[in-house]
Amino acid sequence: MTEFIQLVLAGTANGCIYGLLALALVLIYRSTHIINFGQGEMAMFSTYICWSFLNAGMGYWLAVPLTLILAFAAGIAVQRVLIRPVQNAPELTIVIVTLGLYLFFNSLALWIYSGVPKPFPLPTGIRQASWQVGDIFIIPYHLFIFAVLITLMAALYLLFQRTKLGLGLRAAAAQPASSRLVGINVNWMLALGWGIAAAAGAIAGILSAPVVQLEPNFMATILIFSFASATLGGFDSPPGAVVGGIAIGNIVALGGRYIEFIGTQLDIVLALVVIVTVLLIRPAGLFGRQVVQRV
Amino acid sequence: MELLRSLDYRRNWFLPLLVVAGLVWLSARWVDYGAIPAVGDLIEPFAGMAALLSILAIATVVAAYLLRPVLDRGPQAERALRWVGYGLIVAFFAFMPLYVELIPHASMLKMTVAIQFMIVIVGLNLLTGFGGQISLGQGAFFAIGGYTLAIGFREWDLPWGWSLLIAPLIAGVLGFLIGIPALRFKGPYLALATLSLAVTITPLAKKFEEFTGGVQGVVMFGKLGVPFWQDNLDRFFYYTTALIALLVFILAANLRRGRFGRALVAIRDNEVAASAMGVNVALYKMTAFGIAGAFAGLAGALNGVVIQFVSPDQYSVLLSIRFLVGAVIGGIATINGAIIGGLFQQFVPDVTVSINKSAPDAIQAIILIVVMYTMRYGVAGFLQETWRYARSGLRLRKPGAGVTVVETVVVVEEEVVIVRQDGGGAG
Repeated sequence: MTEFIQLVLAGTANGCIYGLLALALVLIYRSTHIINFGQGEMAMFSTYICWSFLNAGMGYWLAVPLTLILAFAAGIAVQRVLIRPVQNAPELTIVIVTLGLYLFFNSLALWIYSGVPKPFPLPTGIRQASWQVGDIFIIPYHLFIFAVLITLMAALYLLFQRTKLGLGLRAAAAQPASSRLVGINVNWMLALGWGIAAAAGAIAGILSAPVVQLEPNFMATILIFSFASATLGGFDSPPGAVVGGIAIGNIVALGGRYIEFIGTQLDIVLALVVIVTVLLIRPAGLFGRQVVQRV
Repeated sequence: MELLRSLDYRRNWFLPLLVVAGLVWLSARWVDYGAIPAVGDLIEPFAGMAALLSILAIATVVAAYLLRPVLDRGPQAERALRWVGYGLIVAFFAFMPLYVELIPHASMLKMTVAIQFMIVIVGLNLLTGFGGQISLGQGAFFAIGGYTLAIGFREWDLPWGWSLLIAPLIAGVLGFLIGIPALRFKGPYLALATLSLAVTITPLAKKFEEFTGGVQGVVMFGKLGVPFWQDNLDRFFYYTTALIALLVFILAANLRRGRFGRALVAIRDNEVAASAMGVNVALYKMTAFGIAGAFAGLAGALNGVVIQFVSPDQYSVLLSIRFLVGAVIGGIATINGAIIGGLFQQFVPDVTVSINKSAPDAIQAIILIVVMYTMRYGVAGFLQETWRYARSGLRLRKPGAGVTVVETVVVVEEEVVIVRQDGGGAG
């Protein structure tokens, strides 16, 4: 039982990271119906930027906000420069452009930072040692991840539901044509959406870097788990992405331990199974809206 | 003058740009970018490729100009010329050993691998280009082909010739079956599902250690016997691969032209309308997956034979992505594009790797995005378009060939439809 609780705790912490990246995917999918295959690699690259700041002697709590601002700006730039010209192109074109992003950031990181894993520090103020409650060890960093996720969700909720900008963002996603008529700059709203997604992805990268080592491919697996999370939660539901992420985190942690065949090597197979099962049984995911189309 | 006019760069605006880039590349030979050598290094591959492409395009225009007397004789002449063109391509590959050393960076082995890429890409062109089904999982089938060979060799001492027959069967059946869940997915979701297939294959191969040899893989060095040319294995494997590739291309072209190809294009352009016309959508989609899988499996087995070594890390996700990149750059809705795609995938990484170990992927990514903006139908599509513009530009000045013109337009129009409908379906 102790082991089970321990696994759930660790799985939830990982799941929060999957949820964050899934959130980034969902934010973009919801507004533009694009699945950004480059999301994970953009997050990975942001994490490297953060590492460079830290390496240059900057404090954690200065380096991270700075990175997030840069990631936000980069997200906007990518949308404005690369995605907008193909916004209305066939799906294949868009998929290929985002795959181009994947390849580009992956190889750029390898180019600049080499493939040697880099140690990434815990946030200053978070202690390394774990607390013991009965038989269970609680790792403070896991709680920190959870707290970040909750804070971010609350902030996004306030942004989307309580501000005029948020209203504009939602309107641009739901009804681009009508939004344009009432004076919303839809193109900028979409770009802002990409910026927010890039920043959320960067948070996911920075949070997971201390757990797994920082190397150019470290987000690739996380991206697949995030895809599974977003599929499970529903590709157009931000809360769904987070719930899906936590679910996937636990499925992976428990499945790896209790299903003999899976072990630690084949956890990615679990993601594949979840993706295919969800798409077959309930394509819209747990929280997604079933889209009905008139032909 | 007439030749210049036939370029028609108001419609063919990309060509002058290429020529300028080509001049930049030439300038790099004399102008010293010494102060910023890294920039010079970086410009070179792009400008070099632009130069190559502009040479191809200009050759296309010149050919259209020079061959005008023949072409104006009618569609039969045009068709005959097309066969001459195919003949030239086949001859180029057939006489490869004579001049392979003259081509920079090339060798028989590299050419063999490039042809294997072509086999995968032509399958992907059928599936994705004509069938509209995005697949990021071709690397998985390639791996299945490789492991069919390796396991056959390890467990039963199976001669590799048999593996070449069995691998496409297994990969084809698996592809066909994977087509079943794929029926439920569309567009980016399908890309996602097939991507996870590609991701799974490496850990799976590592897991089933007792068959696949785990991380160490299966080593077959010097153990694959050949009936003749024992002293020149490279040549033997080259011709084996090239012959198989020729058959694959003929098969693919026939599939494209026949009932199967028409049904696939109909499904891609409008699934509902296609099924209303009596096309069995599910069956055709699954068959397309099966065929693309079989081609990839065949190429994977051939690759194993040539490399004589199979290990899980050869089949990373990047491999699957590279296949799609090659298909797209060559021209996704064409058969001939696969030739360009295969050569691109083999030689561009080879040339650019000298800049930096990770430069090939970065450069490919940039080229990929640029190609998506400027030539949505890849290099083959671009050359086709150039040919058409050159032909129509020349024809305008030749009122005498009235009947011929109409007939030619019909032939050309067929290709226009293929190309345009691919782009027109934006929602």
